[in-house]
Amino acid sequence: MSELATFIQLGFRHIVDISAMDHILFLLALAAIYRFRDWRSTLWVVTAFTVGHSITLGLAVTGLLTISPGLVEFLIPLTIMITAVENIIVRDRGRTLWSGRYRPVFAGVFGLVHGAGFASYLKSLFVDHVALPLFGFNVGIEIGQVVVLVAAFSALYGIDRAIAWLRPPPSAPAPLRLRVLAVSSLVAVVAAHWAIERAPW
Amino acid sequence: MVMPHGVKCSLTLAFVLAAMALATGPNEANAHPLHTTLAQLTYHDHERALEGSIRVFAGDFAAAVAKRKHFAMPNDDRVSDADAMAYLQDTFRFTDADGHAVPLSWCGSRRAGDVLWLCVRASNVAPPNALELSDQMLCELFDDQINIVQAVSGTRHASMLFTKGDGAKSAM
Repeated sequence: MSELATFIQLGFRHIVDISAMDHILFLLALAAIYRFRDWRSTLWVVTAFTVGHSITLGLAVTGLLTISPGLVEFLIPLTIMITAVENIIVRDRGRTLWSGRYRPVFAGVFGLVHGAGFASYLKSLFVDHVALPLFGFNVGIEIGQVVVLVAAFSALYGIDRAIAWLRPPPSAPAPLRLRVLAVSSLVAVVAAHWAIERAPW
Repeated sequence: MVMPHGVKCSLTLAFVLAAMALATGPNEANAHPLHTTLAQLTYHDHERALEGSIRVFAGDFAAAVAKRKHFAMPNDDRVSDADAMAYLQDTFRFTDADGHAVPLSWCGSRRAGDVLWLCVRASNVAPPNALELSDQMLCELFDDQINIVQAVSGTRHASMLFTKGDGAKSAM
């Protein structure tokens, strides 16, 4: 196997593993407001997230940026919680800033935080030559994220079916809104629990 | 305010799933650790010697050795050379074309921050392309352990990746 393929596998396995639940939940929170036909918007948001985490990963691994790992571990669930709460608060995206098109920007900013989380481990192990491992690891993470998103959309479809089966009364919010509320409440509660658990004070 | 039935169901479902996720989610202080070791193998043709430099997180390595030896985890992550070598002989194994284990000798260790560098050497040995390697370091601790091995012999380079339960693979 080539060195590049090895690190692509490392990144891929790192993101699709169950212990990557924080990143998986973040992707779920990002995807929660979209239908499958909105895949382009989802891809934009996820690509912005990847660009964000690639920047800090690169800066941190090369030593140009030093961030306290404890602070990063606390900020990661905070970004997840904010994303989920934003999903709950914003009912009509057409009436928000840039008609809701700010989501790639904040996914990119939050990606900066998540990239710093990956960095501390890579920096320790790959001290001598870092460019290829870093590139391969990032490609693997991107591929893994696409796989996670496909799984997330399947899960969201299942939730949509469950809501349809429950036959909410006509006075209830639209099915998509119910799904956003259910998924985002779940993600917000879990992320808040992690944030409290990892608080640096 | 009366909450609509559908909203109630959605929120109940969300909180049941949240409770399940909390029960099974990552609880370690460090949320999403990268469980990885990196071994670099260099074959010295003229000496017929194979040298391995293995990087491992010191805390993880000390925990794995302690688990194997059934003793308490040391506070300072220190592992004696003898214990480290015994652990490597069990988990980082070369076999030759006849299926015989290739004896490894210890050539030292060095600590750099969180990372421990371990050095092993095999003398009078065939080139890596005639050997098989099994690397199951730390797999008894972590189900998501990934061990990377990079081998260099003359102008040839190869990389391997081992996960829990993987068998031996050609070392080049």
